[in-house]
Amino acid sequence: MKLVEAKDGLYVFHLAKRERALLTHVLKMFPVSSGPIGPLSKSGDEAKLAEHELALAEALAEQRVEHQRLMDAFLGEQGRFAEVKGGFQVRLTTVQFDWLLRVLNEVRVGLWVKLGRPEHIAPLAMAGQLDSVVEMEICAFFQSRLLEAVSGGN
Amino acid sequence: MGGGVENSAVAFHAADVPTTIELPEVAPDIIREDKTESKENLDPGFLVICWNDPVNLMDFVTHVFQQVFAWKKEKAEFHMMQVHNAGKSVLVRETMERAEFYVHELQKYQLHATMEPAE
Repeated sequence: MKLVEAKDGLYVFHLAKRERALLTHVLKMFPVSSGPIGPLSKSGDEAKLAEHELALAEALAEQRVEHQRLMDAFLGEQGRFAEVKGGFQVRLTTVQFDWLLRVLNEVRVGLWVKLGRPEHIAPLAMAGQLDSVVEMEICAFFQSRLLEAVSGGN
Repeated sequence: MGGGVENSAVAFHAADVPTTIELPEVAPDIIREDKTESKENLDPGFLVICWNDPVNLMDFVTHVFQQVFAWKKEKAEFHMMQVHNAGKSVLVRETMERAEFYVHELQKYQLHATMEPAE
């Protein structure tokens, strides 16, 4: 995945054929897990906070529904991945760019949560969790490429 | 300007001047003002804290801080490094409502953020 052009709030990336397949694969995994990554607060009155914790869970659930709607539109749109020599081109607005980063991260973090929130990820590869570890790395690869693009590298 | 005491039409003699002057006793009025305190003293507010985790990418955390707080990259990176090295970073101190809003926004990006009462 390489940045071809970034101009006027529009990012154009080139993806090799296998990269498109991998990106589509991890995006279709969404959503991996539900619920917040952590509590709203580590201290304070639990009874008072319960209502606020619920509000957080609801906000995240609403966002998940919206992400799914955008995902269906993203993957289902004709010409989203325009075929070019050696692969595909994908165009992202700044909003779509941020959304893609979020979704990739949500898949990655969701897999990590399902793995039991390990402190070190690598040893899990030897414990029958290789698929999830590899999928996390695929997400990280695309996230890194997107972040490089926004920071001026490629 | 001229006209010193010597030239004054009214001459004073030392004997006419009392050695002590009795002043009327005047008790000052005491006006009690309501004590004013800064907003921070009235309400210590809440700290929005981001905690370290082994899964979120460092550049992603920087990106999120820039998006959520509209910080410049340098400030976002400073807080990201604080999270990475110290295990947590206090991002902002806000009212309960604003702190809750920020925690929601950060958790929507899958960052481990919480709000804690400021002491």
